[in-house]
Amino acid sequence: MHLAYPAVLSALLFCTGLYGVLARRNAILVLMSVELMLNAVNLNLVAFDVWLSRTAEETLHSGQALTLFTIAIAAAEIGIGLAIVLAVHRNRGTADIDRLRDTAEGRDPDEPDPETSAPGTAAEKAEATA
Amino acid sequence: MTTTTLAVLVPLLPFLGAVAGLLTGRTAAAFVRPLAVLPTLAAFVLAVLVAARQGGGRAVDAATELTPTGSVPIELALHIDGFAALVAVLVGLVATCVQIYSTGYLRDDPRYPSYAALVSLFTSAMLLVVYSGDLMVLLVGWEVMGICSYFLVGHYWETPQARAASLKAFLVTKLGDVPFLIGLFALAGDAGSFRITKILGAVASDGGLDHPTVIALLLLAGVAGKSAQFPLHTWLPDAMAGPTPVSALIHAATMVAAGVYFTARLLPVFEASDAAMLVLAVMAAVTMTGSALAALAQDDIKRVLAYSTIGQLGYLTGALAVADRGAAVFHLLSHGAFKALLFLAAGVLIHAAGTNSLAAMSRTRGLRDRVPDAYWTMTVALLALAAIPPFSGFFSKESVLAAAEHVTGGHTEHAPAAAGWTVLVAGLLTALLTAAYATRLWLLAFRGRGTEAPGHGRQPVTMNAVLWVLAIPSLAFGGLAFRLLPDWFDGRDLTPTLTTSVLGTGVALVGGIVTYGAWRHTTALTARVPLGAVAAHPEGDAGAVEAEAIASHAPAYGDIARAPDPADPGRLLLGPLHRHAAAGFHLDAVYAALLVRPVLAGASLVRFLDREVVDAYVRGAGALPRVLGAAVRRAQTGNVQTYVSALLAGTVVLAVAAVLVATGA
Amino acid sequence: MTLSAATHGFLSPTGVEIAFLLVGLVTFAAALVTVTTRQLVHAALWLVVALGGLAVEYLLLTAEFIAWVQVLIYVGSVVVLLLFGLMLTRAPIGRSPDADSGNRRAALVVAVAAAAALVWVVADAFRTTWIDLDGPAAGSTTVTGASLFQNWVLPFEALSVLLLAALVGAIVLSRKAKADEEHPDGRASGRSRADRQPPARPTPGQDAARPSADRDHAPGQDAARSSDPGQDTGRSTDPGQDAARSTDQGTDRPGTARPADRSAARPAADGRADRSAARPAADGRADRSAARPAADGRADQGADGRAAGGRADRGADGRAADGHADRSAARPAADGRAARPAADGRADRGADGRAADGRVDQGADGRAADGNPAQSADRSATGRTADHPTTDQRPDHGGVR
Repeated sequence: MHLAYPAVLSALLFCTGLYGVLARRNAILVLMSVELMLNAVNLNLVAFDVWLSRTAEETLHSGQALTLFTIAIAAAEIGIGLAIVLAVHRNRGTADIDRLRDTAEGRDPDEPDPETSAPGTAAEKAEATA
Repeated sequence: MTTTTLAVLVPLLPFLGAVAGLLTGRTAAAFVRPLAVLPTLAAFVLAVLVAARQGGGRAVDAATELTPTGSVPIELALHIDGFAALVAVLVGLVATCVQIYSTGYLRDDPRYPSYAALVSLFTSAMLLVVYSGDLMVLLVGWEVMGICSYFLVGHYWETPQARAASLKAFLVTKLGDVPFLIGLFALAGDAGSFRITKILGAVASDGGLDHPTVIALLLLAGVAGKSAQFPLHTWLPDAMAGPTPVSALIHAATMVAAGVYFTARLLPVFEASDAAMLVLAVMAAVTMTGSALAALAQDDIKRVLAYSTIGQLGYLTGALAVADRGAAVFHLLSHGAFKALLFLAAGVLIHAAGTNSLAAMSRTRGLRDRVPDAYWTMTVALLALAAIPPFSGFFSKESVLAAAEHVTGGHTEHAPAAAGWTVLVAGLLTALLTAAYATRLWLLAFRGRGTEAPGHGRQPVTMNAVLWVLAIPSLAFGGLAFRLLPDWFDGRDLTPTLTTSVLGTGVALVGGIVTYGAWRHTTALTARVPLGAVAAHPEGDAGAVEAEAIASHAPAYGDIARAPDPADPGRLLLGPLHRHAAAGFHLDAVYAALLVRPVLAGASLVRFLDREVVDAYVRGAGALPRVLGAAVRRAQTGNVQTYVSALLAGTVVLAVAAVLVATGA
Repeated sequence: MTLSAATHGFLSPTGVEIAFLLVGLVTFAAALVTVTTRQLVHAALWLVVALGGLAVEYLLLTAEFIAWVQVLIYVGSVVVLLLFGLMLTRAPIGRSPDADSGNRRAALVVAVAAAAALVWVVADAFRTTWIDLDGPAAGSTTVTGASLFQNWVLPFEALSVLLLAALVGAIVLSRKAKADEEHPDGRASGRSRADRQPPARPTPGQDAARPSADRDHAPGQDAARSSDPGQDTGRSTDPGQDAARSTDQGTDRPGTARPADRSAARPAADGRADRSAARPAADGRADRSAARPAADGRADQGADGRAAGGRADRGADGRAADGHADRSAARPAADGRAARPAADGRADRGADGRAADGRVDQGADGRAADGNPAQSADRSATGRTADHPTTDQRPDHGGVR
């Protein structure tokens, strides 16, 4: 089989994932896109490993080993990523990436983030318990 | 202890007292008064000791060089001759009196500690000037006095008058000090030393100085500034905004005396130039007549005395202009005594009357019964001022006039005859005017009629005692000293000559009688024209009363210097001249036009250049980054995806570029 | 044994190549759909197809072990996790018109450029490279296991540590999220206290709800039309929207307090429930599909008035954590929820981008119910522009009514 097939497929998949990361609004969709990119890389690794195992005298099957690692790391990443997204969602009420603009220059001061409104929270608590 | 050690201690003790007072004034209130009075008193005693040891004999000279300067050496030097010893005694006496008086005068003043420390520092600086044998060291004392006068005149800095006056005193004296400094350098350059003895030696040698006239005129500017001679005298009347003891100190013994004393020390340098002597004579003549006229028109009792000081300093410079420094220092000593007395008594008077306005005092009955001590001592001092025999002022002034008369005959090569004539004529005219304003002051202050003077309780003993202490030299110094002093000075005879005595006393009597007549003529008007404002807090200490009086003078009478009082004999005597005399012959206006306005215009020009021209470039330089910053800021949307997009786009471009380069395409 | 390209032209593909191409096409297409579809759940399902296709490709490349691992881990767990995530973040079911952010065009350009560059480079570089797939499988379990445990033991063990760290990290993050939940609790009591007040002034709330409902009718329909099939649904969402709006009003007018906001919101909900307006809401939701537990809760609520329904709803949302029983409320919860279906139905993702959208969206997320300060402040901020008109119009409508 031509090596170009898996290579090109993986390039296309990678760019598809790239598009998803850049264009999707929902953070979970972005995570999916990241998975796509990782898989594109995996495909590349496997294809080249197979090619090298036939071509080279001695290989460590490093491509496949790395693929396994990637898969494991991807699993960890998705776990952590989801936890983060959930935490953000709970705090902010949204998982939309383009709404999480705390770092924006000249942010609207009417839009306080949880940290700044914390005193108000405390005050209300006090009021509630009084 | 050797005389040198004693002499070193004389300026050192008040200096240490000042340092201690400044350091501990806030924390140790109990020590403030002893710290103020005792070092000064000790310095006075030591000065007397030094004078007794020196005894008018050979000058005491001591010098030590601290560090080589590479060119003209600067040494810590003492040069104590008869002049120095006696002037130091006077300074010590007046300073001690002022310190003692201040303890009563500024009894309740919260800033008394710093005030007393500054007075000590002032005294120390003056003593340094007096004893110093090196011109650079002398300059140190000279400038310390300048800054101390700034602080002390501005003691009531709550009042705008005091702030303005302190600044004015500082700036005007500095205006003279700049040429003075240059003159010192030129003098040292010519003579090769800052030591007074060496300079005098250089002057006396065959070569003399290279540029005597330039040096003398430059030094003269500094002297005029310090000693309040025309045209740099305008700070002195305004300096009355300071507390009365400060006025006494500045006027009697220290600051203004420094200029005259300096000239007397370096008189040979001035004598080397006829032009300088003539300028000195004209300056003295203009100063004394002008100030005497102005004194006749002032309403503030302290301003009268201030102008009288300027006039008496005119006598001093006149005596120097006729190259008789013995007469000059003689008059300096007697004037120091009676002028200090006048000011201190005026302080008591102001406290008792609650006003500093003669117009208001002339409408108050029984003021002299309120303050009998001040009344009697002031009468003595005014008689001395008017040069009525046998008070001390008579002898000293006669010695000046005699010296001038001596020069008119052309019997000396030290001074031109023209200078003699100028001084003599102006001196006689001023004697007339002096008697006139002294009489006016006395009549208005103590012979007022109208409401009873308000009772302010007894004056503090410290204040009254000091008056009597000073009254003794005012009364007797001249008569006792004119025989002894020549031994201390140049040996020139100071005995009054018949001609000048008769002439001087005659014009003085005429002046007094004419003023009395004018007063009799106008005094009826006092009842008809009510006028006056008295301090609102008569129970306060004298300093507080005076501060209120100064602050309320301009609002109450329309001007700080005069009052619209038709009952003023000075108004009758001066006629149309009164208005100009009251304003000091508009010299301030001239200064405003010549100096202040150009400086202000220049300042506004610079401001304009800075704001509109220089800043335009600065703003322009800031505008571009600002625009760029705004553009870049717009990119900071906070949207992570945008950031990543830009990052990856850049990566793609870079990767493509790298591939193209690698493949050589 | 590599053969030159001369013997293996692209025009004479082998069977494996054809299979690879076909599966590759399917995979690529599935991936494309994953990143472009507007239905979030569908995206996850299409991701399954793509990942499965990749597993087949691995098989074709004789990497058997990797293929099965791919199926197990990706298709089996990762996608399930992602689906959970979608549910937990209350991702809307059905088409959401704003699944793509505004960055789409730039993303397209970058992606296409990157794809072009990569494909060009890769194709150029490996035009002639041939993989010989004959012989023993290169990635059989034996081979992979041998290499893994001979050569890669240490990294393998390190990886286990990494996984442990990830596990702990995920737990910590979730626990933190739990801790945050306590704030709403505290607030809830405050809110309930405020709840006791509204009876004193129920009218404004109702007023607020009423006119806004009227006024928003048309926009609501617009939004509905723009996105979703039913006029019906559109109407059903209106009440939700106006609940949100009235909540905003509550926040806005007193200018300060949460309690006020709550009190304003609650009567609004009541008013809506009282008025038959609540009915279409329930209908609409029930209508739309049973896929949403929320809809059930809603219908419930419409039926029996409130609290139970509201709470059930919450549970359904996986927000059981806020078992704010003390919240006499569930009522605020109810109206928050009332807003939500409306929002995810259309207004939220509404392409028309009105200010109201943001607001409705917020209310929709049940944030009002959570009482998270940030959110409600947020909401008031976004909604401010639209609020004032609402307030202004109120008297008119009151008059009409």
